[in-house]
Amino acid sequence: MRFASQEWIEAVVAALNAQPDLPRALAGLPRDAAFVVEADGRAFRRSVAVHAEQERGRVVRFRILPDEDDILELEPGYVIRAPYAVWKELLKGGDPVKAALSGRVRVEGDLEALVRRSGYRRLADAALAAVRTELP
Amino acid sequence: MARSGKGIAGRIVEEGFRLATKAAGKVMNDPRGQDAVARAVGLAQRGKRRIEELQEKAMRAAGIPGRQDYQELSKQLARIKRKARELAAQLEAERSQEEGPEEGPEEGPEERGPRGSGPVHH
Repeated sequence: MRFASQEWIEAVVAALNAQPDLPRALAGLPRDAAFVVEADGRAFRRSVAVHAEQERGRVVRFRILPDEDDILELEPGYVIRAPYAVWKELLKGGDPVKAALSGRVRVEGDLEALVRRSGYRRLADAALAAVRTELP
Repeated sequence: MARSGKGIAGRIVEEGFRLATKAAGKVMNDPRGQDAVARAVGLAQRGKRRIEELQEKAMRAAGIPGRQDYQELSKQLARIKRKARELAAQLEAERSQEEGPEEGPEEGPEERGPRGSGPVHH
């Protein structure tokens, strides 16, 4: 499945929701978040912005935003953005917390809460490992 | 777009924050280190927010629009853009309805990309 496509995100969300520890990881975090894969030269020509919502520890809704600027109106609890090359690095096993701390991944929102949950990174890793990803 | 209106102080704090946390990344594997980094990050974020608030107040007192004003404006622009997009889609739907089904769908590659929005997924 093509990275950041509708079906890829659907599969990742389903794999994430299948993680038994997800409610614990999401407890206390804001209801919604936006993720932006920024366009990156020829490899990734057009930015993709996704808005996701959680309820009772599960991702219950998500949608690819028609326009990245919709994030400004939605004002999600977190906005996490990085160029495609950085996302690619993370998919290949890079540490997201270190990437956020070094500023390669830009986080708007309570970063402290994310750092405290860095132990739950394995959930995202497991979900991503369960989905076949075609990188552009 | 937007959210980039940082003053000099904001940029200095941000750069300091970035350098400090870059070094701190090395202790993240230890739970105590993780807790210390989390606290430091929280402190830095709150400090940055406080500086921005003070900057905002000073700018407002001087009659200069601040970051918050720009953010509010950006939000309104985003809303207008969305409404325009929705109206355009509505017009397009009405037009294709008026043209009738005998015309058939247009040939050509289907647009791929972030236009398709996902419904509820369980």
